[in-house]
Amino acid sequence: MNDYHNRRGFLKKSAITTLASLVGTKIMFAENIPARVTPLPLLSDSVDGKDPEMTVLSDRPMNMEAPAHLLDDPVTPINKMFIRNNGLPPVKESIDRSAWTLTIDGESVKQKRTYTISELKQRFKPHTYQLVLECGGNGRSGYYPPASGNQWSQGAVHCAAWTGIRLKDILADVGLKDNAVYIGYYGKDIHLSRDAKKVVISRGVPIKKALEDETLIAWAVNGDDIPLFHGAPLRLVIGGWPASVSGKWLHTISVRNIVHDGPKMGGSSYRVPVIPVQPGEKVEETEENFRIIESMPVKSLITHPKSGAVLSSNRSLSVRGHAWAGDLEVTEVNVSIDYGCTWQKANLSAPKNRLAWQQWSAKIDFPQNGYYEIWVKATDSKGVSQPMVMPQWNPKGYLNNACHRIAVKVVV
Amino acid sequence: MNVRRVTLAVAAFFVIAMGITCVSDLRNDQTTTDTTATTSLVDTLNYDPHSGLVVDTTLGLVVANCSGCHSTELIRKSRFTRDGWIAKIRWMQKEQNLWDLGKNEKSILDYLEKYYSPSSLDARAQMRREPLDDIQWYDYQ
Ligand code: HEC
Repeated sequence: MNDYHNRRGFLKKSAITTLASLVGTKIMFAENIPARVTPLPLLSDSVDGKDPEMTVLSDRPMNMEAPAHLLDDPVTPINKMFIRNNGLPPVKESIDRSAWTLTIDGESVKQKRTYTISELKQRFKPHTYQLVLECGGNGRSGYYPPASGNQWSQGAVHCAAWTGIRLKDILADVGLKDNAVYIGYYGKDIHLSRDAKKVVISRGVPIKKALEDETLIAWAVNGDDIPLFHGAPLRLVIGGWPASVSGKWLHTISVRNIVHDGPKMGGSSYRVPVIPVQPGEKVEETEENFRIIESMPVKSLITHPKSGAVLSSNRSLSVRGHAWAGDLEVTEVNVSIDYGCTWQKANLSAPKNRLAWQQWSAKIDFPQNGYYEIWVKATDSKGVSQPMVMPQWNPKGYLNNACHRIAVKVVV
Repeated sequence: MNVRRVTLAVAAFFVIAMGITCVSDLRNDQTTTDTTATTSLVDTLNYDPHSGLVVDTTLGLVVANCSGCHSTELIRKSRFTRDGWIAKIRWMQKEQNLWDLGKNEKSILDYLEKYYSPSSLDARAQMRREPLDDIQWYDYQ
C-alpha cells in the first residue's frame, strides 16, 4: 500500500505532469516522455501499453480517451479503450486472482453467498458478448456553459468482447426475494483522499436490467485477463448504460429492496434534470428535480478517415465508423457534406449481438474542390436521431450525442 | 424534389444569416468586456511547469491545498464562476474529505475566479457548434 502511495507521490512530480502543462491537453505518451524518467512502468500494466495517441485528461485519477480514428476496429483493442477512474485502482500486487472472491448480499437475497473466481468459472456457463461501454459524460466538452467533470471529447466509448458469467445465473443460484428493486456494486478501488473507509463509487441498475442475458460478471476482455485499469480481476459489464454502472475491481454485489444509494447514485451524479432547463440554469439537487440516466442515447462516430484528410488524387472517399443506441438498435445512418442540407444513406451492418455497436460505411463523391465537413447521424429503432447542435444542456454535462464530424480538403 | 431542395436551401440561408447576425451581436457585446480583457490576460500569463497552473502569488496555496488528491489537470480544464467554485469546494468538503480551507479560502477563490472562470474562455462558447479547429491536415492516400 505504502509502496503504491510513494509511487504515486513520485508520479506527481514526474514528467507526465510537466509534459501535460507544456503540451496542453494532449500527452503523446511514449514518444514524448524524456529518457531520464521512467513513469510508464509506475502507471501499471494497462496504462503503459496504451496507444501513444490516447489523450490523457487527468493522470490522477487516470482518465484517458481515444481520438475517434483510433476506434476504427469493430472490436476495440485494449490499448485503445478509454479509462475513467474515480479513485485509484487497488495495488497491483494485492490482486490475487486465486484468492479474490465475489459476495452477493443485500436485503433482497435469500442468503448471503461468497464465490471464488474459479468457483464462478466452474459452476456457471461462460458467455462472450461485444458490449458498448460509454462514459455518461462522453462529449462533455461540447457543452456551454461548461459543465463540471472531465472534459471528454468523443472518445470515452468502446465496444470490446467481454467474457464472464451472466449475473442472472449467479443471482438464481443465490435466490432472490420478491422485493428486489436494484443491484449495487462494491469494488476495491482506493479513495483519492486515501481514506480506507470511503467508498469511491458504488452504482448499479434496476433488477430488470441486471437480469438481462448480456449483463455479465466478467474476468476476460478480448480473450485476455482484464487489465488492472479496466477492473482486474473481476468486473460488472452492463452494455448500453453509462459505463459507471459497470463496476470495476468487483468484490460485492448487493441486491437492494430500494433504489441503490451508494456514492454517485444521488445528487446530480449520473442524473439529468427531469424538466428541460436553460443552459447554465441552477437546479437544486433534490430527488424530484433529477432522474437517473438509464439507456444512453443514439450516437455515431466517423472512425475513418482521421479528420484532416487532404485528397489530391481522387474526389471520392470511403468513410466508415460505428453507431450505437443504448438499449436499442440503430436502424439508419446518414452522412452529409453540406452541413445537413442533404443527407446520404450509409450501409449499416447488424450488431454482432444485442448492445454491440454497428458498423456503417459510405462512399462520398465531392462535387468540386474545397473544404468540407463530413457529418454523421444515426437513428434508433424508435425513430430518434442525433442533434447537429448541442443537445439539452444539463448541469453535469451528460449525454452529449451531437453528430460527430471530420474535416476534409479536396485539392485534385 | 427540386422545388423542395430550393426551398430548403433558401430556408437554410435564412437560418444561417440569422445565426450569423445573432452570433455577431453577442460577440460585439462581449468584445468590449470579456474577450479583449481575456486575450490580453492570457497572453501575459506564465504557467508553472509542474502543476500547469497560472503563476501568481497564490499559486503555492493552491498547489498545497488542491493537488494532494488529484492532478491539477482537473482544475486546468475547469471553468466555473466564483459561486461555481464555492459549490465545488463545498461538494469536495462534504463528499471527498477536503478539509476546511480557513482563511485561505478567499485567496484560493480569488485565484480560481481570476484564471479559471467561464469568462476566460474565448467567444467559441457563444456558438452551439463552433467551426472545427486544430485541424492537422495530412495527405490522404
Ligand atoms: C481530499 C481530497 C481532495 C482535495 C484536497 C481536493 N479535491 Fe478536488 N476532487 C476530489 C475528488 C475525489 C474529486 C472527484 C474526482 C473524479 O471524480 O474524478 C475531485 C474533483 C475536482 C474537480 C473536478 C470535478 C468536477 O466536478 O468538475 C475539480 C475542478 C477540483 N476537484 C478542484 C479542486 C480544488 C480547486 C481543490 C483545492 C481547493 C481541490 N480540488 C482539492 C478530492 C479532492
